[in-house]
Amino acid sequence: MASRVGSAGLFSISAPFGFLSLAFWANRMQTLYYLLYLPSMLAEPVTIGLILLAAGCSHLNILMIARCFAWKETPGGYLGIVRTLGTAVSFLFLLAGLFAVLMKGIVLMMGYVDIVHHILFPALHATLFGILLLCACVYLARLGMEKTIRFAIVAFVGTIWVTFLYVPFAFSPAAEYRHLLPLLPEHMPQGIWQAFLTVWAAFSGPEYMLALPKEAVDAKKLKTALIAANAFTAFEYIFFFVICLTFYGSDYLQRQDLPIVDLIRYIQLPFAERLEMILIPAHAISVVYVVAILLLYAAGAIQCAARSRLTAGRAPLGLALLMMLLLTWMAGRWIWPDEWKAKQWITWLSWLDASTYTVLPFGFFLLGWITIRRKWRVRHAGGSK
Amino acid sequence: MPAARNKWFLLLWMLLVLGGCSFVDKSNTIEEISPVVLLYLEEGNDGSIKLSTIIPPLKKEKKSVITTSTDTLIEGRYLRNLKYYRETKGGQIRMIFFSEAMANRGLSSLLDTLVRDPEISSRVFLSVVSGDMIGYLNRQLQGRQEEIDMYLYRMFAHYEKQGQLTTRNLHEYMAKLYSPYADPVLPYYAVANHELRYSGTALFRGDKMVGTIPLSDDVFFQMLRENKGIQKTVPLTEADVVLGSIKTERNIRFTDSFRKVHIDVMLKGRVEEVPAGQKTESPRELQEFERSLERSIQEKLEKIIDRTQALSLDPFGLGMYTVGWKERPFTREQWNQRWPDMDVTIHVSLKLEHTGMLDSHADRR
Repeated sequence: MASRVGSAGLFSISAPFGFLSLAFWANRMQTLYYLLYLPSMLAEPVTIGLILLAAGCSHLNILMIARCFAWKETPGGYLGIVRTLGTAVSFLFLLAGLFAVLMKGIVLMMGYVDIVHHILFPALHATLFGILLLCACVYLARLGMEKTIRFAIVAFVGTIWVTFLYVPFAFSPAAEYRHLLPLLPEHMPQGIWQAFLTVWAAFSGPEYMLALPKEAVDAKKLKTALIAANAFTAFEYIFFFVICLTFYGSDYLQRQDLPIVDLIRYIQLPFAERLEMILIPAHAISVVYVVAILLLYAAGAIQCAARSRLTAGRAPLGLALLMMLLLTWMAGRWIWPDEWKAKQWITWLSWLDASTYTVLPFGFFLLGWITIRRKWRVRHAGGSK
Repeated sequence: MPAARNKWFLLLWMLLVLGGCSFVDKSNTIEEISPVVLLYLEEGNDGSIKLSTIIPPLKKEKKSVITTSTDTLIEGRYLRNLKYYRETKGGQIRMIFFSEAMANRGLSSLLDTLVRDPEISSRVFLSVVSGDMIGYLNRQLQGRQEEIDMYLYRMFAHYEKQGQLTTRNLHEYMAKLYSPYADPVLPYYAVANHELRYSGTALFRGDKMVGTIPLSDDVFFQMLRENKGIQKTVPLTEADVVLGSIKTERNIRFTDSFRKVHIDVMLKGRVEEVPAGQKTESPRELQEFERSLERSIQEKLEKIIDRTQALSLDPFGLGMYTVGWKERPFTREQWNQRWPDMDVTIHVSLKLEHTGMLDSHADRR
């Protein structure tokens, strides 16, 4: 296996991705971080409607993404962008992308590290743990894009079982279903736009697939996979939100930092307590998976920006890792010790996610559409001559 | 190449992970720590908090009650560690008792500290206790029941499972405290005649205790508290009757634009004790008997409602039932104002089962 790594290049893809890889990738990317925070951010029962609305909008985005892959006429991947936008604009695009990917990776990882630090190992040095986690990410990422993406199945299976632990809460005597009322809004709740922004960001993730080359995905398969992933994500958000809401009530839920983790601490089995000791480390599989993919994206951006050949070995990954290490150290030194700053960065991440998920699918769709129109016109004009 | 390199990578990884323990500045060597199981908090003379616990819990050594006087809970832990050769840890706290004076003063600041501590489970049992708790614990430790902390924990866990008495853990208390339409309650225990006994329910307004439901009324209070429940023994002392295995069901309806509330309490169960000479031979007599019991239960329930309204408390969470699909007619303040003046109608319907046994019993007399 290992002999195929390395010289073949990080980004070579031997066969199109399967349905499960694509669906699980999209789902883990969407739910990774927001699942933990969303319930206490939303808190009011009427926001269930917001989740459904965001899922609907996300569905439209997915149709656009799938359409981009279905067009035969438009070139996909990096070369496609360069051809459409020109070198200078694509270079700016790359830099912006590199910044976005690194920031997302850092905030996701440090957010997780912070949870571990707060709940499991208060005495452990947070930055050190972040660096250890990053080592695990590189361990996965060095296998190349294809294998890393296919790891989605392991990441999904390794974490999805956690959901089942929450099912008994739905039937527990502590669950008060009257907390779900009122479901319809009396008036516009305060901060509804902020809430929608967060929910919308919580559905982001599939836009990263736009960077894949066309031969890596079968458009039809991608469409069904993404639709399934999106629906499952919406189900997960609503399920966890309803469980949290019936258990805490909206006023108490607002005061929780990590309601989902606290809920698991409420389970007291005769033979085991503090189940979060198992749950939180299990979540690391998803974190490592998503951060490894983001690392590869960063490596890709570096490689393209350096204008080297696409099969340039693993040097870009090393450079991306160095950048991440530096950023982890900086975040651990200046940002995460201060809770307000950390919260600010989490808010910025949700803005970033919301904007990339709004702009990229629509932008790519528009570009593709313009290209096709232009080609069609040229062909049409040629025909009439 | 990769096999060898992987091995090095793995070795480095293991070194880092296993070495993780040595990076930390806080160790939990089992011989050096002493997990606290029970806490008793009472008010000191100068407004301070007196924190008592039993040490060592769960170890076969001579146990004793250790008390520290402090201003805050965390400082108490610190001071306790200054006079004990092990470090006490809060990860295993199972029960917290508050003295009545402490509960009257308010529990918010104490409970916030507990909620914020990730080591402490939100399942820790809370209760109010009156009387000399420290004296009781000391007496138990001197020979009567050395494992008193475990004994009490099992008792609480049993009560929680059975669901007939008030039990409250940290989460349940906090959830009611923050709920706009309900007031929290805690079980009320009393130390009397060298015994710690369940003696009713302590009623809270916000985080301050303002009254109790005595043991004689507690069983009726439980009927109003939950939508569905079971009471194994319901003594009706005025009628000289004891009902048993009573399944209770509560229904709440608001009418007249939330000016009136109807509480229907349906009871189904057996008669366990009847006064001598009680006639239930014909269906009419049985019906009359049932009606008289219903009246007597209804009076008890009305008394409890009157008491909670007089204290302007809603421990039953009735306000939750005002919320509809699309509106929330009351804010927290509005509900707190409305509830004491609300017109409450209680309707009790009792269905006795196995009354044939009652007849044959009467025949033999």
